[in-house]
Amino acid sequence: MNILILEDEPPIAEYIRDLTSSLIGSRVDRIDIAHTLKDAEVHLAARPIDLCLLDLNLSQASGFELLKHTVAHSFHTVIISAHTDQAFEAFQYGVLDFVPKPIDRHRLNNAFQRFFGTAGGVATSLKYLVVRKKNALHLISVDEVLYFEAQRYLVCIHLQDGRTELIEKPLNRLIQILPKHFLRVHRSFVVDMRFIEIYRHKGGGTYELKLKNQKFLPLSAQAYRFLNKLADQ
Amino acid sequence: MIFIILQASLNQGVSKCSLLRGVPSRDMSGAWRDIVPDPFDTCRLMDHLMLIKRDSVFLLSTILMLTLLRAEARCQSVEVVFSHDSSSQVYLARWKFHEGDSLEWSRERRDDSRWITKSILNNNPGPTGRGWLRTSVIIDGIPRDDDRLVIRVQHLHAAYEIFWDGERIGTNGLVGADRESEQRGLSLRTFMVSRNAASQGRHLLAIRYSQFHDAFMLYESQVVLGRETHLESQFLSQYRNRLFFLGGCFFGALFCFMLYIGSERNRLYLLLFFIYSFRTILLYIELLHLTTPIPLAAYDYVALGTESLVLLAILIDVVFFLHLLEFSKKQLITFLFCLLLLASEVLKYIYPEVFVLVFDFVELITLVVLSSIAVKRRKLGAKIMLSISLFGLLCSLYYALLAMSIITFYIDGAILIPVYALVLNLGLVLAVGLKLREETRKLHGYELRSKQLEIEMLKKTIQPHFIINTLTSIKSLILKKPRDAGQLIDALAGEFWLIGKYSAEKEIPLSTEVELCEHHLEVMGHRRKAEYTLVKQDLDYSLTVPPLIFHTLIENGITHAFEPKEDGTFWLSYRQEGGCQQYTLQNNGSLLKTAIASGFDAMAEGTGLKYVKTRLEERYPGKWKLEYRMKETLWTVTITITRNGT
Repeated sequence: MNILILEDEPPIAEYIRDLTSSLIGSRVDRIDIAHTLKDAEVHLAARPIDLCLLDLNLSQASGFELLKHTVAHSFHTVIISAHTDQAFEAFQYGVLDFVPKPIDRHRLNNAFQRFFGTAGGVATSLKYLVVRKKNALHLISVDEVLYFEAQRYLVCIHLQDGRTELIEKPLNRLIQILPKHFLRVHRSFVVDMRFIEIYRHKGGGTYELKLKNQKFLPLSAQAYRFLNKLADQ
Repeated sequence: MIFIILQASLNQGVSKCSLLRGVPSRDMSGAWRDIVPDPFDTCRLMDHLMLIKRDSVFLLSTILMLTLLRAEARCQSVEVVFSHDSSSQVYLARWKFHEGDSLEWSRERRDDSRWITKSILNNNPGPTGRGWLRTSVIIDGIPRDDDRLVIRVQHLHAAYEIFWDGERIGTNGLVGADRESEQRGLSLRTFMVSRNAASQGRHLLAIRYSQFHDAFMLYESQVVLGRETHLESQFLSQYRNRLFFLGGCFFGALFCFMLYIGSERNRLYLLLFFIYSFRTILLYIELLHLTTPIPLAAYDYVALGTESLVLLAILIDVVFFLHLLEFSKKQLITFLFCLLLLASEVLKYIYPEVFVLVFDFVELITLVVLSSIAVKRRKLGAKIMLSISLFGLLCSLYYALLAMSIITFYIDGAILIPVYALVLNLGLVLAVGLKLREETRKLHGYELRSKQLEIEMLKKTIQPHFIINTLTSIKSLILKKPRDAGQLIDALAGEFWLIGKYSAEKEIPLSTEVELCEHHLEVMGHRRKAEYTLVKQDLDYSLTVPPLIFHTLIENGITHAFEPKEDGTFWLSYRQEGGCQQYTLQNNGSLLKTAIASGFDAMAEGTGLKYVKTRLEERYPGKWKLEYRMKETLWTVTITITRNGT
């Protein structure tokens, strides 16, 4: 995996790099450091990354603009910042984690574990999905989403009003930051459970569900069992 | 001014109009020497005044009527009726007059039907020289046992003798044949008429006088016939009223004076209020001569003193208004007002008959205009001041109209004066109180803002993210470069130490500010792995500046102008030119050039710049200028402090 550290203070950037390699060095292919946004763009163009460790001066107006830019990409973003008061807002934009400064080794490790899916994710407060359309960033409220559908490298967002949008983040990364009422009903589908009308066994080991807008989606056996368990409770 | 008019009316019953202050008697007597007036209107007015007993400005009309009508009449008999049962006092305003001197004229049998009729209200008994005044008094009823008939003569500026039915009952001074032999008496005399002499029926009252001395008249002459007990009680009530106002004014003035002494700030209007009130007190004290006999020889000085005092008081009144209502061109307005006063004074001498009217209203109209302007400008207390001035103007107008018989509805001065005094004093105290309250509020706001600035500054420099970022830097340096970590800690400590020491100051020595900047540059240098230099050019270290203004600008510069690891130089220079102080801060950062080219406003009003501007405004209100631009390759911020800004 490739990691990019975006931090304007060189000593801190080096410190994060050293810490990262000592924590998950064996699983990391490459760690790059960028001090400015321009640097970061150069790095991103050169090779795709999986995780961005970002220091945002969030107190400045441009802080959240930069954040929106970052979260629109396919990679995950972990914020490392002294502005802990703005963590909540950062989560609303879909960051994977927020590590306060001065950086605690265990806290940073926890963020990595969330990335690998080996640490239980706390209920996220994701509120907006950032999509890039014609080089402009658009915000989509998570509450408007009916379901997500994987399409090659992208994910199609089906909205309640019938519109669709494309987001660069893969489904397996998206599910890590989505709120709890989103369920992966199938390898290619993630659904807002509140819009499931019925689900059933079609026979022959295939399952399906019907959404409130009368649309049918395939359902995996695992998700079928999960829904059954949920219904029993 | 109306105050004075009213005071006069209160004290005098029939009183002169203050408009006549300063009109030398000789002018009047000169003008009337050959006039034999008895206009019907004047008689009617006099009768009217007899009935209402008191008035203040009616004299105006007398003068106007006399001079305008210039009618001549050899009148029928002149007489007044005094009844022991119903009358308490009568004013003997109209007399038969004859120039010259003959003791025979004290007797009834001398026919005076060919004498001219004149009023003695016009200050002088008659033209310079010697003369006689006569009037018939018809007495009705029998005097009570405990009472006596008295004749009170006031401000008759002459030496005179009083005859009752041919008997001389008293003298004031010594009637002489020329200036040398004449000896003037007192300004106030009371003569008794014995019970037997004041019997029922017709009597003859005659005054033999000589007047060779010019008198500077303040109050008109007055002869009153009345019961002794009544005149005494009248005097007492006037005395009580005067004491009442005196007390009110005195405490109001004292209160303002104490406030002035006690207030830290220089509230000139409090002192002016004190003087303004105090002049009223002075006038009251001076007015004692209305009830106290004053040698007529000394009277000129008293009158002159009063005249000057009143003029001064009018000026102070206007200046007080100007200060209280925060006019900017006080001196100019005062000067113009002086010119106006002077003009009206001059006109008054040239056309005494017409311009006496104008003069009285000059002050009140000025005050009304001034307070109207202030009301328009929404000045505090302006409405109150306008109300007071309008009320004063209305009172003056009322008395003027009354005197001209245009209106007949009469309000007793004894009622109107306390009301006016009360309105005036309460209004002024209220206006002053409102202003004090507003100033206190402003002061609190100012202190609050000052505290807010201090907090903002502390927050700015020791805000958590700055400390935590720095601590994180230290944490990252500590293992690999312990020397750098140590230096960073020292620089940070140095910066914090200075901030802690000077945070409450409104300004700090320039040297301290420079030291702060250097500490900050060192801290940031370690954090951003760069070398920052501050070059000082022509700095005058004896100067003081608001704290952290350059520190803030440098902090902004590092964030916006320099890439991490990019070395940088800051130039801080000082120039003084024609009373203007100019500080220039430049840096050679690489980022701003490209950023500005792409339309980025480098100084978009961030919190840092807002802080700098607020500090400058606090220290040099309205006298500073902050500009920024690219100058060749350097980003340049210029702070200019104009003359009087320090």
